[in-house]
Amino acid sequence: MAADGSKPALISVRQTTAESKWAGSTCPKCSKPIQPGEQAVLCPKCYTPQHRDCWADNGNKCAVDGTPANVLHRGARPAAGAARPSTAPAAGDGTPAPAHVTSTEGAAATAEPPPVISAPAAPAADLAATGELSQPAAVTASSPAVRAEAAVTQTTGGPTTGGTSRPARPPAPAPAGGRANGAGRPAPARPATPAAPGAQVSRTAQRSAARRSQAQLTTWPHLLMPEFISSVLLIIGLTVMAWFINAPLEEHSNPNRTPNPSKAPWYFLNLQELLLHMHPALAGVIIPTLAVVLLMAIPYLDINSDETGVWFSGARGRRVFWISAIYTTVMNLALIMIDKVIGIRASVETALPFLKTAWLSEIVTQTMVPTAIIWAVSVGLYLIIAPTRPTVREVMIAYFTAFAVTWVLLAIIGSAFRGQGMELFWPWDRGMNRIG
Amino acid sequence: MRVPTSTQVSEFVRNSRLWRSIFRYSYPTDRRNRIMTVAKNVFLHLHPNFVPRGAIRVTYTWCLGGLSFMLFLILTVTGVLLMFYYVPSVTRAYQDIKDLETVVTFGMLMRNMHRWSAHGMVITVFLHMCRVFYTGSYKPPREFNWVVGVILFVLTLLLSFTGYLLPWDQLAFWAITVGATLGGAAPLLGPQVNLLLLADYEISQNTLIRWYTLHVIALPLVLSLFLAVHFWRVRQDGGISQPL
Repeated sequence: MAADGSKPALISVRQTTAESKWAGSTCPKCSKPIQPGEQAVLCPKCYTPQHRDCWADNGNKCAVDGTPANVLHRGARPAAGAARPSTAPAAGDGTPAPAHVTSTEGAAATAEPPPVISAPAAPAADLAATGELSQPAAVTASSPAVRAEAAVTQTTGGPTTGGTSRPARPPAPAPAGGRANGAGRPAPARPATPAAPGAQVSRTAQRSAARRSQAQLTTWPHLLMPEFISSVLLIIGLTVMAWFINAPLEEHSNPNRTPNPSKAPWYFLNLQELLLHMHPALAGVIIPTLAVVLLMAIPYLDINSDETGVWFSGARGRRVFWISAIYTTVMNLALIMIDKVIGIRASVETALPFLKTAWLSEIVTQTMVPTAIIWAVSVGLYLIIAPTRPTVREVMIAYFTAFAVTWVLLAIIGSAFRGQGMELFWPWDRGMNRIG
Repeated sequence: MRVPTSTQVSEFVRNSRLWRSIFRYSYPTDRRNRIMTVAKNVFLHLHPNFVPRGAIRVTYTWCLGGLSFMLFLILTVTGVLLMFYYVPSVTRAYQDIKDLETVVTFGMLMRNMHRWSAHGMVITVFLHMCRVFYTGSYKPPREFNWVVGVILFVLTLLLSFTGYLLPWDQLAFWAITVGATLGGAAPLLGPQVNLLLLADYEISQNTLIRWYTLHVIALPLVLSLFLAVHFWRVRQDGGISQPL
């Protein structure tokens, strides 16, 4: 496989027969069906079949995504197999076919190369015609053609696709360094604008172009070695821990002797903490269900992929994270202490004595008041970050952080700070002196 | 008679029919063999042949997804070993755990590893979720995989929770009492949910066998199913996320 540009530099003409898979499909350029007997080509990127002449009319570019590729002038191949003329035997045919190496994203010269890269066109053809470019050759070759091609690779859709706007990434250390992941999967073809020849290269194409201009490392050993090392460290650490620290085992279960305190597993102690302050249905079912549903909804609310892959999406997001973390911690601790010192239920019943009816009081103090407080605190979080005009992503960071911090904080409080009768104690107090 | 050198022995073994039927490619020191070894190995082919340099920085992923999976594997292995000695019966369960700790060779170690891995998995899965969130890796086209991840997180909690009852000691019994009470507080359906969880009106043999079955077979199968989808979608949605 060619080390540089695993995708074919050239595409071959196919004779459409009645059996051809593409027979009858609509050509994106002329919007007419491709009939048996007509010559067709398949886009090397999106595999969309189109008329051979329409391809040429379109400036030797795909009418769907603008991928440039040159048509190989040789006998039309009726085979319905994959279009993979990876070794370019153009020169062998004796035809003066324009044979240029196209990059994966297909930013290379066309049959009538634009002036920018016209000079190196011929040597490039030679290189392509020799068949597979071995990696070292591509890296070290001093031929201007190779360098020009590498340069063009950086600017996807370069001169041939009507000058799209993606800013060039900083040059990859070795553009030829094995962009061969095309071997596994064809680029996701999403013909977003089918009948718009020469339109902007789709976002997906830009994205994958940027991705592929990065150095690609072989999975063995660059990914497998960290995986292996981390697994070994995990097993060693776990074995050492298991050797020295025994899992707890108390006496035989006894339904008649309730331990004080009775605690759920630590990862549910946050819910048990909520249980101390509100109605069990709210604490044990509604809030966790809502949390899970909202977690799942995050990617459907925050759909801007531009910020993918950057921690906190940058400095602003990091700031929002800290604001939310501090706010959530303070609020949680404050609410717990307020409920302990004042007591929501008692204070509401004092203020509104007519609520003393048991069921009404329960609804108000255990459901309505906690719900209102949670809403108020959540809105408060938004109001705090609102002056910075947060993006959707930053709002998400604020609320996810609120969730994560609450989850962890309440679990810690439930595990370490709740003692007899689920009262607050210092962890080192052995349950003797309550806090406050 | 000449004694063959180690190189000769090694050559002989690695050229034998048996060896070559198992290992199709020589040790991956060159590019081609590295690709083929990953692509043609049933375990390794979960990976792509190539990974972008930026995506596999340890300070980016912290290996958390892999560690979670590794803990799941450890839990499976130690769990199977524990199953050899544990009978989910209210008359035997507690004594079986005692025997595991005192009589069975390495029984205590197995139980400890199982316990700490279970706690560890809850932690690593949660941290993995945080990592994915804070790097924005849930964004399109990875939305659905994030949903699958949240499901896996819930399943991890359920697996850990169902295992909590099995030792049948005071800790287990009352933790499950509290947990089942939480679930039983569901509006409208509270008593039914409670009955569904306990398979009885109080924690009993029915509860134990129900949770045991969920813990050792039902939930692991469901989790494996979602794991498969999760891994598959990582590949399908463009591999490990990275900046545009």
